[in-house]
Amino acid sequence: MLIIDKFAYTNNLKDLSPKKKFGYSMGLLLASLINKEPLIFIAIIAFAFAGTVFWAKIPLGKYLKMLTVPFAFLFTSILAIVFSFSQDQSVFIWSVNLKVFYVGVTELGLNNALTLFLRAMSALGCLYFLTLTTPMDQQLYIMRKLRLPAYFLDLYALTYRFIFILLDESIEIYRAQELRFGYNNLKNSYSSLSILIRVLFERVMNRYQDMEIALDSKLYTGDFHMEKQEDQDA
Amino acid sequence: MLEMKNVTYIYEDQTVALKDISMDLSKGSCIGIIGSNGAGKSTLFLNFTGVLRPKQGQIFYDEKPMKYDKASLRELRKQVSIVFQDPDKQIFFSKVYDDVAFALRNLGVDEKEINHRVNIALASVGAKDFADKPVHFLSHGQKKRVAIAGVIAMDSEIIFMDEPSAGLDPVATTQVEEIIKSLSDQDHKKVVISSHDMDLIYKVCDYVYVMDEGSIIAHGDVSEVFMMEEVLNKAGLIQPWLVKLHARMGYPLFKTEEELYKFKGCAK
Repeated sequence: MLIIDKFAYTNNLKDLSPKKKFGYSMGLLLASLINKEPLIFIAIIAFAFAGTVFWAKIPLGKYLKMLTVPFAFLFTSILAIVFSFSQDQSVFIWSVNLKVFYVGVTELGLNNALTLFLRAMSALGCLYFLTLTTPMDQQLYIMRKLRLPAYFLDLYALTYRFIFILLDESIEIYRAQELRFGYNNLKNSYSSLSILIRVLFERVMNRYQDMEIALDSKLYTGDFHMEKQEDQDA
Repeated sequence: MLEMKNVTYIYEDQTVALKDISMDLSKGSCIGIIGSNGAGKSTLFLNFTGVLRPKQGQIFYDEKPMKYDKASLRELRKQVSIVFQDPDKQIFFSKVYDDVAFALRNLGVDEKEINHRVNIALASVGAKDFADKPVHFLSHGQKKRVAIAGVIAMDSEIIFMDEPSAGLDPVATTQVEEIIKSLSDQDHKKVVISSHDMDLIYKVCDYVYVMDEGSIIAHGDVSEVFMMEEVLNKAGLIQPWLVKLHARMGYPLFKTEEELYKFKGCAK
């Protein structure tokens, strides 16, 4: 079970109108895309944080832990922006002489890195607010209101449904391997992982065939119809 | 009604899954197909629903030979539906309501009518309580009931159920049993069940076919077939416990557990 999904269905704001939640997070997201002022970024992060932790009552520890996942990627890209190379020492505010050229930190690089970091964190906060408070059917409702193409919605709904089946299958295979010492050292882990991927692929293809049969017997004609939830308009 | 005449089905790897099978589904209102794993029960169902096409022999629907073009299959499947063993394989939506309504929406039925029929279907499988939960939060037994509701909503004439009690706990099995009974008794549907749960078949079916290695080795009324111990053993099956009481301990043949308790004066 995905923890993000669990929160989406159980958080304190689950029954709030999806339009309001979408508006709140998209408003903040738009602001963080236009804005360049560090203080405003911090305000956006604070708003997204307050919305998620105090308003929707997502546990703080879990929330911070979820933030650390993208943070790792962000950190490596920030490093690449902060440090630059040049043969002229005067552009740096701090530098190391490597004989042929200098490696150091420029003021421009530092500013860029700071803006990037803050913008990424605030955008992340906005999206986390949306995904953690808005269950899947409410997200689909918003997308339908925004007149996104039906094919995209079908794909979105089906992917969502089958993520859990794929996840369950892979957990099942993983457990079965682990119980027979498939992951007790590095060498076994590599070979077990490759088996896991192969078996998962085979099962996916089998499921695909079964799904075609089931779709036929339910008179599928090419459309995945979804309920028009006009009652949620309030 | 559906009828199979001398049907043989061979898979690509040359496995003969069905050998010269003739079967008339008008013989009972709830028909049981019993046989061990690999006896050909699932292949039989896929042939009846037009998914697989017999290599020899023919299937008749309302006395007309089954046709395999798209339009004819569509007409057939309005009247012949199937519940698969694994509910995850036939539930496509995360919303229970959308899934039960799926076939009706494919047919272009009016939303008002859909709403009416979906609610009836959900109520008849006792799924009202969890109809608002996303499907991946449901237990196996609950998913099974959603899958059955999807078929009930189609209101077809014949319903095939492949291993309806597989993997269910006793309470869920009883619930499925009751759904099957009310489908065949009250709604006058033809229900065809494959199973190796002999007690279930004995309880709900009135006509039984015994399959072994792709052939039918016996058929007849339920009490008649379950008295043929040797035939059952040959097919890798056993007698239902109520039949064993009769055959080995000299009790009268009871159809339900309750009848036995009443006989012994222990009814609640």
